[in-house]
Amino acid sequence: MSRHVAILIGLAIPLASASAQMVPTPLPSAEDLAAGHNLFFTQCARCHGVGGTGGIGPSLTHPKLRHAQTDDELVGVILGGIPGTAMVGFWNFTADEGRQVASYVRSLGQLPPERFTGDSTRGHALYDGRGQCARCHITDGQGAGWAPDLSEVGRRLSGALLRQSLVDPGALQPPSPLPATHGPFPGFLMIRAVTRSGRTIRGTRINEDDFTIQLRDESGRMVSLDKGKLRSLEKLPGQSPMPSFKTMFTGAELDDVVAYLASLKGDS
Amino acid sequence: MRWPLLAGALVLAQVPNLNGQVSAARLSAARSEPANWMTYSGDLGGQRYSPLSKITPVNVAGLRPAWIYQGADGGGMQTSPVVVDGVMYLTEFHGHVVALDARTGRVLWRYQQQLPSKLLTLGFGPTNRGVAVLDSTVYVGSPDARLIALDARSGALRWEVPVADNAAGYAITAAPLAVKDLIIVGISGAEAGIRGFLDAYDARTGERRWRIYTVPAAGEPGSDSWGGESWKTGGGSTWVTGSYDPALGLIYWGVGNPGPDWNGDSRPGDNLYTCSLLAIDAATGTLRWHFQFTPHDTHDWDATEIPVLFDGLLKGRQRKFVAMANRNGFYYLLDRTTGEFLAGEPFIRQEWADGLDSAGRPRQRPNIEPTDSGTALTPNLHGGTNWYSPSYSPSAGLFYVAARQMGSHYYKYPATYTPGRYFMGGGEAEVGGDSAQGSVKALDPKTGNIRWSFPLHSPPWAGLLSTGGGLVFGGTNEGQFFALDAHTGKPLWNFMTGGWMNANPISYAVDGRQYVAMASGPNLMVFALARPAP
Repeated sequence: MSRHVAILIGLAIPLASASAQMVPTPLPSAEDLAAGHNLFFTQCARCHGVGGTGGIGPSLTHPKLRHAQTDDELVGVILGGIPGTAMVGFWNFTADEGRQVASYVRSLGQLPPERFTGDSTRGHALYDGRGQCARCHITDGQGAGWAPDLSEVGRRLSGALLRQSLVDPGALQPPSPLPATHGPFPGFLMIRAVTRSGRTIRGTRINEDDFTIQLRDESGRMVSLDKGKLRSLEKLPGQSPMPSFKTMFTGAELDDVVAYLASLKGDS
Repeated sequence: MRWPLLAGALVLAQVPNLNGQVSAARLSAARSEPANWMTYSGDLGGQRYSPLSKITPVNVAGLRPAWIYQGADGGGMQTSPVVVDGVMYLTEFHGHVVALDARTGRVLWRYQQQLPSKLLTLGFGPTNRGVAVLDSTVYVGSPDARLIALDARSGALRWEVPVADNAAGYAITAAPLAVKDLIIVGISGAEAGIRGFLDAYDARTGERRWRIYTVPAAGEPGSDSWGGESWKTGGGSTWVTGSYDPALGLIYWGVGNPGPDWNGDSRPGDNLYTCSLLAIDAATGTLRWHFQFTPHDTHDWDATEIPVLFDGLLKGRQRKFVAMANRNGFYYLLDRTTGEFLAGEPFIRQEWADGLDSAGRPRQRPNIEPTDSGTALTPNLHGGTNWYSPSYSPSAGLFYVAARQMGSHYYKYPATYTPGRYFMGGGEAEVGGDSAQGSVKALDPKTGNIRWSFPLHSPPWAGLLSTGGGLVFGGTNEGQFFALDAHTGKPLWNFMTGGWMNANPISYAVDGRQYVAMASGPNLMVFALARPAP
């Protein structure tokens, strides 16, 4: 049957407070990790990918998880879900099973931290200066929200993916933060629409359904279109309104910007 | 003293026309009362077709919300309402029952399920898909696997009986089906390694009249399709309401996946009667025939879709058909007297079988089994369609199915049985985003050939309704309730309800006005044509 029903109201378990616990958390036993792995495999991997590497749900291979700073909070998220997202609560897990899954998820984030050769301070200057990145992106509340919010991009993307997104922006399809029953969809997909009167509208997709589509056009305004009233509607995966920085920055400068972006973890 | 007597006389005089006697004879002839929607599927044959014709392709653009019922339980509503003589009975999440004035949405009574603090619903939520009504009683299952009988006029409890042990993973999500003087009840729980069955209870007393197990015990016919003791945890839930042919006296009911879901090593063989359609003698509960769609399933492709009954000519011979658009991606047409396979075609792009042989058995491709490293395959575990209903229109002569087009990576690992815990033996990683899509497909019911297809933005979770007015109604994940031309699939109207539509539409009439209703999120939306200005 395996049909999870999202309960986003009423069953959310209050998250444990992040009060400091002076007693160190005991290391999970091998049995707990194995049991957690097995439960993760059947119940979580469908969305989060096998090994938590991400799929229609986010990757969990991070030392810190946005919605679960502490182990108790992680158990709370697993059992209670995250209201307003596609993360449903697994109310059928026992408290022990929740703890076992949490142990396993925690183990996914215990990878050696990545080292960056670039200089983050210089990268920040390039971001604000020659790159003009803040014209489209937001970090820590500053900038414009036409393009993905980068405030926590260092949690989501590895150095290699950050660099790829700078030199070949269309290669990555940043997921929309909006919930969808079939998993995250590309949130900045390039669209080319032609109205019946022959007007061409280019923009990035915000949302879509059977009958309508919402775009940000080239001026950043929201445009709402009825699909049935269009002459054509093209989706252009692989394209991006962002320019490539492959030649605009030197290799060393790219390293600096990557180091800066990798430092953005939403901590400030 | 004259006034109370007079009032009493008035009330008594109205009882038969209010929520009074829904006899088995009325249920058998449900489609002769188009104003009512008296069973889960609108008739015992599972057609989900309303003969009502006031709303048409010409005027459907004038459809407007008539009223909204906001569920008192905030959980998603998957109910299929029942409407009898102006009263609507529906279930909320957790199986709470509500009776409403079907004209205004005003509440007449509400029954709150009393549920234990520890509730097991492994592999699904404590959802509920509707009630059955017989005589003056409303029947509903509970998530902790009880059958409950309520007085239709007041919601007062008449009786309740335990159906199975919730602590072992049994639950009830399906609407019961009233068959003569019996209430037929299916159960959920195959993800917990239950042994499935279908039950019949005396409608008046709640006494169990018969039980038929969907997995034969050692020594019984079909038991050689299991290895060792694997039948004891063989799954085979009966979690979606079946159909009934009063003339043949046969109940048609779909059976779900074997356990463990994704690891078939412990259960060599076809694993009868999982992923099968059963034809059961209603009087005795004995198996008349079976047809297995997916032998030795390892992809969770339950055959718990609606068996749709209709009659017609095939190759010059008048036949009684039962059709099913199956979760494995194929549409099947069978003779419902004998179970003979007549036709079958895929209705989605699937990757697991090179068609069906002359007996309807799939020609399975190699290397489709889940593995440690993952096997890419379409459809995903949710299948080409799912529990939500298809529709058959006798007037248009078409079978409509809301189809899912989505792939997955299937994984396998060892499974150990512990009562009341997951017993699945693997998992899957869906391929979602824009590659996952859906459609409403109109099939030739006698061949399965696709006549038209209306694309859906994402794989749907909502059923379909066809009407005598020439329309097909359905809903989207994104929240739109929509109407298509039944003959062409052309979209004619839609309304953004703002909630996930994960339920089945129905139609009914009060005072000659046609309504169309469908749940959206935790609420029920009811539509009608705008009234002309007075």
